[in-house]
Amino acid sequence: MTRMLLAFARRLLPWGPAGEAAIGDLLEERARRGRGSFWLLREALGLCIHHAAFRTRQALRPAVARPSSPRRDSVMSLLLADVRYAARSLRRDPGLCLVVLVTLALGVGANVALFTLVRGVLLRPLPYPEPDRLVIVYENDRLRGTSREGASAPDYLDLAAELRGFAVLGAREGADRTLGGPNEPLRVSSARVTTGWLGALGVRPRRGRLFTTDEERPGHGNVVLLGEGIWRERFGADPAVVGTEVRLDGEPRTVVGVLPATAAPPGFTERIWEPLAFDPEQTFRGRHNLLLLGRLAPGVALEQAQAELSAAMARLEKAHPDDNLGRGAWVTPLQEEVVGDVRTALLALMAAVGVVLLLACANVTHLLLARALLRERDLAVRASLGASPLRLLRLLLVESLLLGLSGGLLGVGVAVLGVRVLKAMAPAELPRLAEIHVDRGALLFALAVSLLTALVFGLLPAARAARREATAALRSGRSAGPGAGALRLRRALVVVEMALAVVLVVGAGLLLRSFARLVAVEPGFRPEGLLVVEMQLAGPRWAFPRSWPVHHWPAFDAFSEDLLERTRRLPGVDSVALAHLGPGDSGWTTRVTVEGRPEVRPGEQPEAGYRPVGAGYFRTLGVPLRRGRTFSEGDVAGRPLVAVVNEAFVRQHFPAGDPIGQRIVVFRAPREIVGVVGDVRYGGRDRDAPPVMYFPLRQAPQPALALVARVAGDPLGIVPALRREIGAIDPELALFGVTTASGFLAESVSERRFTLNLIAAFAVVALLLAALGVYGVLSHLVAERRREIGVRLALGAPPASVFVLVLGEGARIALVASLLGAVAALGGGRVLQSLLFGVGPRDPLTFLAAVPTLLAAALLASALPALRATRVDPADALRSE
Amino acid sequence: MLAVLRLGEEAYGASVLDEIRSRAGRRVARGALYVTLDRLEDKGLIRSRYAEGGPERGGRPRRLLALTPAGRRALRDARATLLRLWQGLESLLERG
Repeated sequence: MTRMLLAFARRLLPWGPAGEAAIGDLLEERARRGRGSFWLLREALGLCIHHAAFRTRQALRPAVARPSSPRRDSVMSLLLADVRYAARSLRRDPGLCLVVLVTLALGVGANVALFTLVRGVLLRPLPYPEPDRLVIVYENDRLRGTSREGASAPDYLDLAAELRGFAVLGAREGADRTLGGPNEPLRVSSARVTTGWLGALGVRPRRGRLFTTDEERPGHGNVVLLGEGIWRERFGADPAVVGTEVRLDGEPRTVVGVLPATAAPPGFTERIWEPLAFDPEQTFRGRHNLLLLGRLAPGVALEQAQAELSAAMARLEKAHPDDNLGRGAWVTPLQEEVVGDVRTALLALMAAVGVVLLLACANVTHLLLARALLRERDLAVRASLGASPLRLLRLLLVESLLLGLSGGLLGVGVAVLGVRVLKAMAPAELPRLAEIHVDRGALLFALAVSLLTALVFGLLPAARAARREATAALRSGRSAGPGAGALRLRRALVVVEMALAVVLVVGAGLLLRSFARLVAVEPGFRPEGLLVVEMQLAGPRWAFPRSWPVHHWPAFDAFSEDLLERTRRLPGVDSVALAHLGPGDSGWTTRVTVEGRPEVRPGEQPEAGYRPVGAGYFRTLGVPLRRGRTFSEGDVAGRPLVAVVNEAFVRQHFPAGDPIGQRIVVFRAPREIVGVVGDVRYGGRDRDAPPVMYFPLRQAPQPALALVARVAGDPLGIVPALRREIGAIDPELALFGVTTASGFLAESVSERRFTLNLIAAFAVVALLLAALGVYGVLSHLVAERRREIGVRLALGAPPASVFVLVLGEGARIALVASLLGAVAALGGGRVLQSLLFGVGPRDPLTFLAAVPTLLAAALLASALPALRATRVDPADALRSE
Repeated sequence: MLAVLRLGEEAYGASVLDEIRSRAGRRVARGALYVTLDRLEDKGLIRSRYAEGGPERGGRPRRLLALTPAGRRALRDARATLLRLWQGLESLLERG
């Protein structure tokens, strides 16, 4: 018994000869005083406790709390004691706490901010009753391979009468109107809708009423609904506005109601609503101008609705082969339409920011592991005093939870700032941006993330500590370094960290190269100094001729000459031209046939872009003339009808021959091709230029116009003067869409820029965190191998070799990680596929560039520990054992 | 330290403990003593060497303690300070 006891006490006293002597004292005293075993036991235990307490206090910053007696304490008070203890011990280590909290706050904050964005855009249900039953119905065309086409009015009427799977089916056609009034005329976006459109959404008016079916009849629709925004801006939120008269495009309309701001689904810009009336004379099946929105009947699944719709469209195709050959239709949830193609980008960002959080966790785990190693003896004392492994585990978990939750709290602060930054940075096209803010859901997310992180980074050290036997910890000598097992663990952790960083670096690299390629693409015109202003000739004074096709519109000729003359006189204007559509507008297409070619089956005729442009358009834009001539002042109504085509059109229709002098038929009118111009990428720089036909504006006049002007200096500078000149022609004309070509080109890539900026930022942070991890592990390594390094140096190894030794360790980690990361990136690159342009997801250059980047980061991070290793004093290192 | 000084060549753990207990007349925790000794040694006020122990110690060494010059100086200073503080106070104590 005595022997066992002494052996045990001896193991608890790692004191060298001093411990031996202390036990010798014990035995001597016992013999002299004739004490029994119990005395020995008591004294030995007291000795151990005193010694362990002292050593712990000395070796560790955190103090040992006075051991409480567990049997009398309730669970709650135990927990409180744990929390108090954890807080106290954390407070003693402010440096560590600061690093951990900052890391966590950034990790959690970035995640919460991006989650808020993703939730606001992708996940939040639409603000309508039972939003999951709302669907958009698109027509598609098998012959042309188009999938998102509108429906024709006759198709809509047939479908609405026939389909049982839809509780309501509504139609909408967008239009722009000039809202006249006491102030400057305002161009507003309007939706012409059937009663079913607003009915399907379930919109309730804030004031007044919705449209009646009576107002859907042609000639009865001289009423209008105002959106809440317009109501506040233009009418001062006057409740008496209902029943008053406003002017739309110069025509009187009665306001019958005010709709809430949510009446326009996200992504739709309408601010006023007009009834959509179908004049049987004006509708035909070949004109697909309506967007259909339906509310599925209760209990009807999307697939059922789709099946019924397909059957109905098949019947229509059979009944009207001339117009409906190859036409089908498909349904898609409104929610998905609203989200659109930003989904991939946002999910990629979410994945990236998740990786950043993982890295933050890994780094905190490093820190806590290092701390846990220092504390093993403290824990061992607790264990030897009777703390159960479970209790110890809980203690450590409480500590990491405390850290995690504090980090999370700070993270919410970071997130609030982050969301503000994101909203400022985000492209305007991102749907539902305005609705986004950090709310309860985001806070819950933050809580969940911080708890999860705390568990992740707390569990590893805690599990290790709980597993280790108390005696083993107490026995290990006072100068013994942290365990080799921990080092292995940390090394594995840092390899994973670096590999994750590689994935992000590769992703950012791919996006960067895509972006560079995209921006380098020539748009086909010179954007510098180019001003684009849109306007609409509307009102009784500009009555559009009712004949079709229109080749002559005298009022337009006068307007065009007047406007161009006035604009030319403005200071700084080099050249100016009118066009139906500006260069930033992808425009629309129409069927075209080449005269003398064999008849094509209806529905299979090729289409090409339709762009009436005024004289001087090509010169003003800087579009090069390839062959023939461009339009002149002489190409007016009454003269032979002519056309200019672009090179893509020539490639498609005249791959071998000369197009000049050939005739094309558009809208039943033959036109002679007089020139070929260079391609302009109207559809965006990430797409090939489409085949386009240009017509003289004065042989195909349009009420919707774009004025393009090349200006010396700031193009926007002449806008006020331009407004005055246009006001002088007609005060009812509103200018809208005022932009510069450079502006809309930049805007066209803003979504990519946004994704790129964020992913690049995440990649840098990831690299930084991973480098910190490498630094931590190598410092650990150098501490661990101090003695070995000392021996090497003592035996005459040059310091440089020690430096290389440590650096090599860093390089090894980086190489293994690069390999792992590259493999992961090969798999992950597919996520980015749709965001790439001009580079594949396995672009070898990007992968090759990522490895040196990582290697550099790792070597940089290794340099400091390596330098420290060379400064190890051999004598000191050897003595310290 | 006073006990170490008094015990001279015979100063080691057990004897110092006995000395303090008998002189001060109160119990001193064994562990506290060793901890204190360690701290004093760390501060360079005492030093220790190890001597063979007899059979009554189970063959374990004795940790013989002695004051270092710095320790002596510290004791002298402490004593001088104490005396300075006491100067002229005995009579006042007697009167009370």
